[in-house]
Amino acid sequence: MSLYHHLDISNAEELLQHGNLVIPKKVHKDQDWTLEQLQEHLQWAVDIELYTIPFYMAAMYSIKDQGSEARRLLRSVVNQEMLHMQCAANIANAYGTELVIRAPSYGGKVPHLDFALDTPNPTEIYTPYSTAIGPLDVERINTMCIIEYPNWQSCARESNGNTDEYGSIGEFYQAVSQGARVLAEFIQGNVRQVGHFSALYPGVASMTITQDGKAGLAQVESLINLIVDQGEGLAEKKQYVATKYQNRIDDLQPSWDHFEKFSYLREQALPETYPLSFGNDRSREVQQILLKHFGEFLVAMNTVFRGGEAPDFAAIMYKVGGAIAACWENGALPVFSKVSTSSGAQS
Amino acid sequence: MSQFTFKIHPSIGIARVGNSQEYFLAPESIAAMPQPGKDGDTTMGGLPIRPGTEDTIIKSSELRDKDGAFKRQAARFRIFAYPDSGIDTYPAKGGQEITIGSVIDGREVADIVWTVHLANKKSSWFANDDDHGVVAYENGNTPTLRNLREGLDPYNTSRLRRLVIDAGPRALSGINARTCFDTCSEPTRGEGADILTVADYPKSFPGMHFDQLEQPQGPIESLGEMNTDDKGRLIVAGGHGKSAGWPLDEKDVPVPINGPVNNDQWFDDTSDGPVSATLVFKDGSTEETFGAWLVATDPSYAPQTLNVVSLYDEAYDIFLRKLALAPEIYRDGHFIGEYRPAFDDHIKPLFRATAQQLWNAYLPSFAIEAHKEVDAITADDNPDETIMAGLAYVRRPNPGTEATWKGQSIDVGAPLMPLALGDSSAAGGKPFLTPTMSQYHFLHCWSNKRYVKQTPTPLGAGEYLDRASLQNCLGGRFSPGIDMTWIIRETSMYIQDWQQGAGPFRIKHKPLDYRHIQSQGLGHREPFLTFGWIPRHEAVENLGLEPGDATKFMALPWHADYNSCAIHQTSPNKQDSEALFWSWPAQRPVTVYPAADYNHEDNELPAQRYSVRGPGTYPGVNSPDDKHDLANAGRFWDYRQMLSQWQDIGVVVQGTVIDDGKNYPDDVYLEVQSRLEDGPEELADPTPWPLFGGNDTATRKDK
Repeated sequence: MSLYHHLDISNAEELLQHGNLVIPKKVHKDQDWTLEQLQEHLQWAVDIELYTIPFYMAAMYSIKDQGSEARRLLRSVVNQEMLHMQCAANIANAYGTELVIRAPSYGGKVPHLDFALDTPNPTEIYTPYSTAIGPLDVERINTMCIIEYPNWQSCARESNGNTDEYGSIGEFYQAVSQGARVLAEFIQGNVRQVGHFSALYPGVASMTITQDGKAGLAQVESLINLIVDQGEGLAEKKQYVATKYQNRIDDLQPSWDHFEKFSYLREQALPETYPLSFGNDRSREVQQILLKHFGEFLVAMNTVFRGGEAPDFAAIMYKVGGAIAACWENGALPVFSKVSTSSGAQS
Repeated sequence: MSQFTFKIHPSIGIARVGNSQEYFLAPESIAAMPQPGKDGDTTMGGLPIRPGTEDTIIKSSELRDKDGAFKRQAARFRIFAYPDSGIDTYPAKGGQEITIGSVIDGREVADIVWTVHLANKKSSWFANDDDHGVVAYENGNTPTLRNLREGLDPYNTSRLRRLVIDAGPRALSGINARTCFDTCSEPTRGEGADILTVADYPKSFPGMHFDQLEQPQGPIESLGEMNTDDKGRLIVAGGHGKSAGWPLDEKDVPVPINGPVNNDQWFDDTSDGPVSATLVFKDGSTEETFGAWLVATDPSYAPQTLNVVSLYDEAYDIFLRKLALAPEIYRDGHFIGEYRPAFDDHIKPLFRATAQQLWNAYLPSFAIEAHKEVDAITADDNPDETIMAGLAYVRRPNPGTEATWKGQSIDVGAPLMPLALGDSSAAGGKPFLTPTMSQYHFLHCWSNKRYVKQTPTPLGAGEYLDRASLQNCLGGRFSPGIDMTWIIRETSMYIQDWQQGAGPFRIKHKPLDYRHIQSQGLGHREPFLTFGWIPRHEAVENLGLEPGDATKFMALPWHADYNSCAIHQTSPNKQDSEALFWSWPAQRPVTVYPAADYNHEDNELPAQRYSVRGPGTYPGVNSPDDKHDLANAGRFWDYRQMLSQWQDIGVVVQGTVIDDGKNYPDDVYLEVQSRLEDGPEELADPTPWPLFGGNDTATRKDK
């Protein structure tokens, strides 16, 4: 059976359309978890991780100086977001989720999360912000801080207890962790697992779920910890990424989580970015090339995370990065979906 | 008066040591690129040539002689005639090879008189400063002198006499003639149509000055030989890879080798020196030629793996930006926006080099896939649609005010290419390698669709030899390098007014007056050669180079540096990262696919092994040096071992030339002719990058 049939689409282009993704309701109690709910959460996790990648990559490649601190810090985050997506997909597959990976939608709310429920509300601190694809600027950096906003234990959350939505990615993963534990008996090891980034983090015992049931739970929890620790940081006010989760190769600040990196960038002078120059033929052409490559990338991801093989996965992935760079070099805004997004950097 | 200018090509010929008396000829094609004039031949360039043939590529069985000794690589020099009307451009216009019997300008060539002078000045010279390179020679400074125990004054003639290996000049004429740069034969020189003996020439070899020598492969009594072929071309072969160490006293045995580059008390038998020729015509007239240079250096263990940055790329870049090589490309301190580089000439070699790296280095599958995609790019592809769009994965050199791109990225590792270690700099080193300025500029033009598919000005046959010779050598990471070092970037090394006939990339010969050698009695003779050329020192830098002045900057003995320069951490390493990167990935194979392991049944590549492997590549039990550091894998733990086993290392060649009776695909490059035994179990198998040092991964400690 073809990938398209599995995904209920007729061609790759449909992956570039935004799907009507199911937003899972918040699960409050352990006894309320069902496998279906956990799978919805895990699909959600994959969506969130994917959401960050084009957004961060576009901002990264907008910076003219390849060796600038901002571009290097952003690259370190992008690389880890790719790892997080792999981890989330591996957990999802261990719980039997039939993943569907579609183009994220930019320009509106950060998907699935209502930061207004968080206290303090990060959208009031990090303003102005915009989820439209754009260059690295104040709006983008604020959005990055909002996305990676930590779930600090010191934050009061009692008032949110009755809501059906999560306030932060940290809170969301806390729930996923609980659900995973409750439903550990459903874990099946070695199901559609992808381990591309293992060599980068030799201290992490396994980037894949290889064991069944409760034996696999430790692996699931390890991957969740990795995502949270590298991302918004563990639930501590002072955030340092554990040594085993640090990029030991070339991260300028290996012990900083994403939130700390973005908070730092927010306080620095903005790097020079490529200006947009709308309307010439080549800028339109490079946008279409990026769309084509990103569509192929979505197909490749759907393939590998459904247990298939995409022998040219790396080439497709690198082509997306190249196409984003070519967009900026030609004054074009990178585009990642067929549905028009608000252009520029408006909140 | 001749209407022609005569030049020797290649302008810099590369010979390579071997422990065999036999040799093959240096490649006259560019590694990994199609061989010129051989359309449809699936064997890529870079391979040596069978002696006695025009361009027949050797088979794998010809790398060693019948006794298994590693053959030397000899450089073949030829003379080309160029019409005077077209010599002030690059490429020059016209150009045809001249051999004995050729008729040029109405005159028949009766003979060619060749003179070559080889020497090795490494022991007398300064230590190489890996992190600073030429900067250590600026503002009147020099690095520390090697062998300070032999005297603090570098110009002291007694010191020079002991420390410089000088075979003296040798001259040959006619066809199929031979002479050696050894202790026995008489130095000779060409003068016009004649060959004259250089009486009382103060030849110098280590055994003449040191009573006790440690000589792992026998005494150094020769720097090589020169021959003429049946057309009167010159063939120069270098030394035999020997080394010799002198102990300070009877307790100083074995002579220590404690580092890769600057070992006191050692000699090796690499060398370099000028190559000159006089054309003798039947009418009795003669014509001088623009001379060449011979560099005899390390063997080539992966001759078809093209360096991303080669010696040619370095020399071309400097001639372009400093010596007005092509004003249509660069002038007045800037690259010219209207110029369109040629895909086949300026771009494709970079893409081919990228794709060849997998044969010598253990790349992760992602990188191999991506490199294949780079290699597949053709001149017809839209750059924006390729994996190289926006040059997103190419590390940028610092453009200064010369080019338009923004910033440099010498500190940024993966995913930027080349993922190899960088060079020396004023700041104390560049962590990572970048393409040269002109290489990056050409890529930048291409990525912006400003290019032509084919060069409108292809090189002539002679200039192609210049290019091939240098393009098969390592550039970029001169710490100090393998063939030549950062001196390739020194304008003072070359004939700078190249438009007057010499053409580019030609080393300036210091005039050597052999007529005034004064005999002072055996054992008391003054050395003929001086301390020599010193870059960035105004008083001497423009005088030209003497024999030995090119290789004196290289590692001593070379074996130690070859052993060491496999994988390292970056320098500087500001983040104290343990990650390891390749030093000279194209020319110092770290991991290889042995042909002996090839899976013929499924046509699959075998597991990679270390190129340098077997006993000695793992630390002894409870050895004080046993750090279990992956940075030390794939090399001999004791530098000394390389002195006697360098000739056992295998060579990576294309499947098309492996003649072991089995069939290999055309597009695989496998290690052949290794005589290193398989490693014992203690050494862990190599793993793909990323590699980390200092984390107990090199050996299996649990055994």
